[in-house]
Amino acid sequence: MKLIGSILFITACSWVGFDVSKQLNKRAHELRSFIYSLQLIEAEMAYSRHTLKDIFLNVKRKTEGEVASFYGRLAERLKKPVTHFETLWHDELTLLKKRSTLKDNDIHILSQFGKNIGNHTIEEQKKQIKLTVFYLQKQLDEAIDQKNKYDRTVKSLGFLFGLLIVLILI
Amino acid sequence: MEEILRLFPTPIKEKLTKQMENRWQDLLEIRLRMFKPIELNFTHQVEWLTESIDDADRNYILNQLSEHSLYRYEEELREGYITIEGGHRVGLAGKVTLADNRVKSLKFITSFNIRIAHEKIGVAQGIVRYLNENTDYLHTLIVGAPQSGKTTVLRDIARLMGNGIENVPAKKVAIIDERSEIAASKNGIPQFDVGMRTDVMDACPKSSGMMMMLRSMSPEVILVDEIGKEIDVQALLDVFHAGVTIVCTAHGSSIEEVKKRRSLKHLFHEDIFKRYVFLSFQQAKGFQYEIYDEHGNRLMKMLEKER
Repeated sequence: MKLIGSILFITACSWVGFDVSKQLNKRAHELRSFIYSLQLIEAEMAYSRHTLKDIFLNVKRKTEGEVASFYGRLAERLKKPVTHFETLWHDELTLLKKRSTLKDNDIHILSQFGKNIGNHTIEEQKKQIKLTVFYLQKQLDEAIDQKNKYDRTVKSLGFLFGLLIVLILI
Repeated sequence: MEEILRLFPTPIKEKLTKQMENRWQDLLEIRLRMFKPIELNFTHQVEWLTESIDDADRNYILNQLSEHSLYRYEEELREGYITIEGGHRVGLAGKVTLADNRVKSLKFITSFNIRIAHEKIGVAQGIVRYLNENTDYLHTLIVGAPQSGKTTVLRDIARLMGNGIENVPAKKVAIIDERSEIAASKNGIPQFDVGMRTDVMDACPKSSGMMMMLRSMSPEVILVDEIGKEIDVQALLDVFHAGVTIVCTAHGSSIEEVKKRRSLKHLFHEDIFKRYVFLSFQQAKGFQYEIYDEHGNRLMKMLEKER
């Protein structure tokens, strides 16, 4: 009985460790997705001259996970008359923050970008997209760095913590 | 008229719907100016809405016009108009920014003029039958002041020529629709009836569009709206020498005045046009047209109560 309990406990702790590591991976993945989506937006603005609504729909189709549903919700809400696009963008970012692994800093960069989207000429939009991609890339580098640093540590920490508690209690 | 009403903030939208009742067919223009009452121009009278627009309304209207995507309208803002769904043209005025002495963009837009596009099927029925010789159409110039119905007539001419009339079979018609007003295309598909055998080059500069159509679509008739620049005239001459019939419109208060225009003089040197249609519109008399041949003889004069 004790043995089974101990194994269960250790498994649970290891699982928590693995989960934390997964979150670290996921953030890098989501940041990469956002960088890709911004590049899509730039191409669509410059070449196909679609409206924001259509651009977001296209981006939704070409991305996945939380990033895709973020753009999907934006496109959906743009179907009705919208007074301030910035508010819409901000609302959706708040929701995104809850649902994704992105951190405050990442959201902040995206929120800055939302203030300028749709109000400028193509050249200016390109500049803003480049700048946003630049900042997001930094966040991505940091995320990858963290992942490399802590990935193994958190995984083994989970297991070892479980083992420690079991040993103490036995 | 949903495509026009959607431009306005709710309070203005409600007032406008109430005032308009079901007179949309008679409405020519809605003019908005910052902090001034809204002007409604009907066929026979002018009315005012006590509502005016402020900064927030202006931004709302601009956002709805561009669908939050101003980057799509760089060229249009430079030219001073945006064409919306339904072929309605919204003229803009405000403060211009310059770069190298060229208009770069329009900032601080303060006036909007929403010109309601009307599809008047059959309006050119009486005109088209004077524009042919045997089974071929003749080169035609349509002259009229702004708001005299040039585009409406041109659209119906395209429809009639593309569908064929009693004694002239349908022709291959090409429309160069630089401002998307003639056919009101949405993603390239005409929203107005422009005829069976009609091809539309949408949002294309007239001069390049005419050449593209000439090279690739073997048209028998080419229709363009509002010629004025020398580069358009050059392209028209090429079309003429290629043996394709030209139907085009020009701004002017009389045919004589248009003939004097410097940028158009080459067209008249070569005596291209065999028919001249003069359109006029007065609130008291309504819509009128006159047709002349190349020697200036009047072939017919027509008066319609309703535009």
